Amino acid sequence: MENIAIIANKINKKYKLYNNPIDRLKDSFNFNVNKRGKYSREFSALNDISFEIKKGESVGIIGKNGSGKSTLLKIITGVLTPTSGFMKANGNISAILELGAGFNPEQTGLQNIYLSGTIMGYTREQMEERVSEIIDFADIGEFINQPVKNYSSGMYVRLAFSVAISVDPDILIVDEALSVGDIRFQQKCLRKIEEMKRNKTILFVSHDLLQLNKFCDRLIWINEGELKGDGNPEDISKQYQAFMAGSSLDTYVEDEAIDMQEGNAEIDPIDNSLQMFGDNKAKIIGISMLNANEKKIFQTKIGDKIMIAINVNYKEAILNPIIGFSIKDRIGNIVTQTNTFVLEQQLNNAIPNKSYIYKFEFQVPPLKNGTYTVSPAVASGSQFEHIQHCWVHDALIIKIDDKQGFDLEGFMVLDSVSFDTIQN
Amino acid sequence: MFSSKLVELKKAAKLTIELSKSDLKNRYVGSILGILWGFIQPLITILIFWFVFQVGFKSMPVDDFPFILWLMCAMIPWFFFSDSLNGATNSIVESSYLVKKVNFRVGILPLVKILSSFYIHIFFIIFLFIMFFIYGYNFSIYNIQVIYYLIATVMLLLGFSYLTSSLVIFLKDVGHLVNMLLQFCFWITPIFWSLDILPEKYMFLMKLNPIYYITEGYRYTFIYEQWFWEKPNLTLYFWLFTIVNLLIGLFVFKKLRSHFADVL
Repeated sequence: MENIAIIANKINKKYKLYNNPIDRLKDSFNFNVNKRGKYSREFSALNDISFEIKKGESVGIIGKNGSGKSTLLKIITGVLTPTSGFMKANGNISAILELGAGFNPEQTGLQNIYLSGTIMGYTREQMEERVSEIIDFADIGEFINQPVKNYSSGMYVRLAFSVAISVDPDILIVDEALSVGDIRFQQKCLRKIEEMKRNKTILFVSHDLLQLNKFCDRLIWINEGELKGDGNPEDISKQYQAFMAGSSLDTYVEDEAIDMQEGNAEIDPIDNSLQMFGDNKAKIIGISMLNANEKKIFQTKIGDKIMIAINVNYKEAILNPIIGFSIKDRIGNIVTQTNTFVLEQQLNNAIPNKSYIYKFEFQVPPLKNGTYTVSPAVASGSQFEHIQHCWVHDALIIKIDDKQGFDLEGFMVLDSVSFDTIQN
Repeated sequence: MFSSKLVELKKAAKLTIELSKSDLKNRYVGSILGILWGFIQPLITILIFWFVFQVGFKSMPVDDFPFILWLMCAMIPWFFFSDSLNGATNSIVESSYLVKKVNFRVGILPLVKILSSFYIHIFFIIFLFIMFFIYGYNFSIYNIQVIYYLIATVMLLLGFSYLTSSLVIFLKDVGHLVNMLLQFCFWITPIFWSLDILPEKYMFLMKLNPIYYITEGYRYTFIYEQWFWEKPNLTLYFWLFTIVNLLIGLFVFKKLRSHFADVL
């Protein structure tokens, strides 16, 4: 019992949705139990969630938007009460929830530091000792004496995080908030979290699976209020990625009628919401990354042999089509591209109403850790003069792991560097 | 178990005091005179009433007492009451950033507002003593009663505050209603007029107003020199009203408490 930080036992949270606040008022004072709920619709945000978190564990929580992550965190911090179930946290909690830390927008940053301290049960003197440390870490300059309502979201989260860690919590809860800060501050926070990991319990919500894999001992996956997975970060994140890819498949079948039988089942269809352009004589209907065993993957490592498979459906006959793709980084820089023309591959003329699968096999280049997108294209002509038939922006999202322990700057990883010191 | 409850209570009390101090500061933040406005405003109002009635209408001293002193005795507790209730009604809505983001005893928020008005009220009670001294009245044992009436006012306020502060979250209209009722009460409570001008048969109605018990109580304390137990019926009625009012307030607050974070 002593080494348990958080226990959740069959937590349920149901929200009642009312059309207007008066209905809620009527419902609250309705003594007739049978009539209760007649003004509301029920929405179940969390269903029978149970888990235990040991002291000193770092746990990541994943799940798509609206799956109940924030609700769960709010219940752990005690802001919300569960509809049923038992929740207990041992030790004092410091939390940054949904970009908020309980700051009074009218007061200055400095005043809010004291306010947070008061609420956490610290005296003014105790806070005075910490103030300079907090201001240093937040590093927002003159703005510390400005009302918080004038802050940018980045400044806000800087201050919130600085305050949250300064009060020396037993349990630190960080909800997505950090993603607002710039990369340098994010790194600073992550270093701090890394440092705190040794003796604190940390709960971490993020959509960045690589980050979670790096920082967490364990992942909890929540989907639509249900506990979907709990365990080793690598396993859970794989399951989660596969699930997320699968869920986009459902929407596609619904609103697109292209006969998929000719296509390969292994290749994921293109999400219809994606931006496309071209004259539509050909249509890219699917793209996937495959590993050496031709199994679909979403995450890969530098140096691995992978394949990009592109499924193209032709509406009209096209003479010697050219197939290619670009890989872009998170902010849209094209890091590399290739196509069948520069590879000196002469493709056969395409027959209308037939689908072809093209596979590019290559070794993952030494790109830095992160998310990259693949944009496939079909054209005809030559590299210098061609007609674009179909081009899909960011059709496939892949993650590349650079296996580096440190986050260095730049686009690429310098591979197999040898080093020597020469003394004169 | 009991001792941990006690520790928690102590923490809540400390937090209430801290928050009320910063609330007092924040009220007048940005103005050059700052907190002085908290004193200037009531003083000016008192002066206006004194001017209109004594200089303008040539009101005679009531019960052989200088009108200004007689007026202040009721006006000062009234300011405390209306200020607190106004502040407390909006206290939870105003601090939504705490209710939604931090695990927090929401119940202390109305208290914080009452307490911050209380500080100003303490100043005015001292001011009242000074005024009496200037007019040549000495301290009397009856003055000690002010503590009793202070407690009575706070108890009455608590009931109203819990009720209005939780209702206003769901019904914005409550805020306007409180404002209007306070205005109305100011005129129907015998604050700047004496109950004696009413016909006997309506007096009873006026006495049903619990604020009358307080404003009149301050006059007993400073002017008429009567103990509260010398009016047993009125005292009994007041406390019955206050306790029922407090129970209703707490009941409503408890019922609605779990919805606050969802609605704000």
